[in-house]
Amino acid sequence: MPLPPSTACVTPTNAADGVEVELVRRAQAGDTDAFGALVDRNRRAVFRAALAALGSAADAEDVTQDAFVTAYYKLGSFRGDAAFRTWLLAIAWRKAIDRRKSIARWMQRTIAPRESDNPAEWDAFAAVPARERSQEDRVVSRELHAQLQTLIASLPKKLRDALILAGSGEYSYEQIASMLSIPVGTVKWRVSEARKVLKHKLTAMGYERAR
Amino acid sequence: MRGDLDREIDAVVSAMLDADSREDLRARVLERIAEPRRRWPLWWTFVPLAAAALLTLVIAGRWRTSDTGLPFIRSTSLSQAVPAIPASLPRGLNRDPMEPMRAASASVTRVARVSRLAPSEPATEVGVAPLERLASIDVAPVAVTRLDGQRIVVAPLASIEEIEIPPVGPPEGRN
Repeated sequence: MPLPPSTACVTPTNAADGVEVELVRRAQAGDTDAFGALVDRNRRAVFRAALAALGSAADAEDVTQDAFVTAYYKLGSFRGDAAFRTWLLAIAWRKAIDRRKSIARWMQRTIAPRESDNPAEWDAFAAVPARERSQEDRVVSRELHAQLQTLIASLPKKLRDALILAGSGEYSYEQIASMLSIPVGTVKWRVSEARKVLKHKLTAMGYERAR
Repeated sequence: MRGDLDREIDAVVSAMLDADSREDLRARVLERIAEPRRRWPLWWTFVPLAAAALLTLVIAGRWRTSDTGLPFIRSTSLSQAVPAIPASLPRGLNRDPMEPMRAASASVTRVARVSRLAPSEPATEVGVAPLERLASIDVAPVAVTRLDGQRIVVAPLASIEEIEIPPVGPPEGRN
C-alpha cells in the first residue's frame, strides 16, 4: 500500500474536532484505517455536495470516490488551517464542477438525455415528508413542489448552487464559501437572491393566492 | 404566505439532496488507494509533445521538398536567355545610358519566367553558361543650361470690370 506524499503535521483549529484531527494525523502517517474512518465520517457531506452540483446520483457517486482518493494523495498539503471537512468539500466541489463542465457530459446530455441529469427531474417530492393537510392542500403542494423543482433547475448556476447547498442544511456558510471560492457575504446574497427570484415567479404563477 | 413559500423552498431543496452514497464507498476508496497509482496521466503529457514534434517534422519535410524543387532552366543557358547587347551601338552622347540596365533587367525577368515554366524537371539538366563580360558603359555628362531671365515675358493682367450689386431689401410679406 503506497504511503501518502508526506507526513506534515496538522495543527488543531477551533473548527475541527479533536477526533477528526487525530484521524487526519494518522492518515497522513499512512494509516489507511484512519483514512477509512474519515471517509465514513464525511461521505454524506461530500456526496451531497457532488449531488448539488451534478443532480445525478450516479455522477455524484463517482465524484465522491474520486474526491476521497484525491484527498488521500493530497493529505500532505493539508496543513489544518481549515477543518478537514471544509478542505475535503472544496476538493469534491471542484471535481464536481469539472465533471459538470466536461465535454463527455455535454455529449451525453446532447445525444442521449437522461432523466437523472436534469435537476428538475429529481424525485424530490417523494422524499418530502407529507404533512397533515387536506386532500386539496396535498394536491396543491405536490404541484407547487414540482413547479419549484423546475424553477430551481432554471435558476442561474451561481444562484442555484448557493441555494441548494445552503438550503440542504448540511453545510455552514463558511463551508459553502470555501467550496464556491467566494466570500460568505456573497453566498448569503446569492441565497437571498435565489429565494427572491423563486418567490417572485411562484407568485406570478398564482401560488400565493392559491394557498 | 411569504414564510410558507420559504418553507416550501427549503423542503424541496433538502429533498433534492436527501440521498447518501453507497455503503461500499469506504471499501472502494481504500481499494483505489491500495492500487499502484496509475501512470497513464504521465503518458498523456507526452501526447501533445509528440504531436508537436510530428507537426514540426512534417512542416520541415515540406519545406525541404520545396527547397529541392527550386526552379531551374531547362536546356536554356543564360547566354541564350540574355539577349546580346548589340556591339554596334555608337558610343557617346547618342547612346541611351539606361539601355544596358534595361536589357539586363529584361533578361532576368525572362529567366525567371522560363524557370517558372518548368519547375519539376530534373536538376541534372541545368546548364548555365558563364556570364559574358559587359561592355563599358559611357555616360554622358549632365549639362545644365542657365535660364535667360530677360527672355521671359510676363503678360500684364487684365483689369476686372466693376460689378454692381443691388441693395438687399426686406422680403415681401414680412415686417
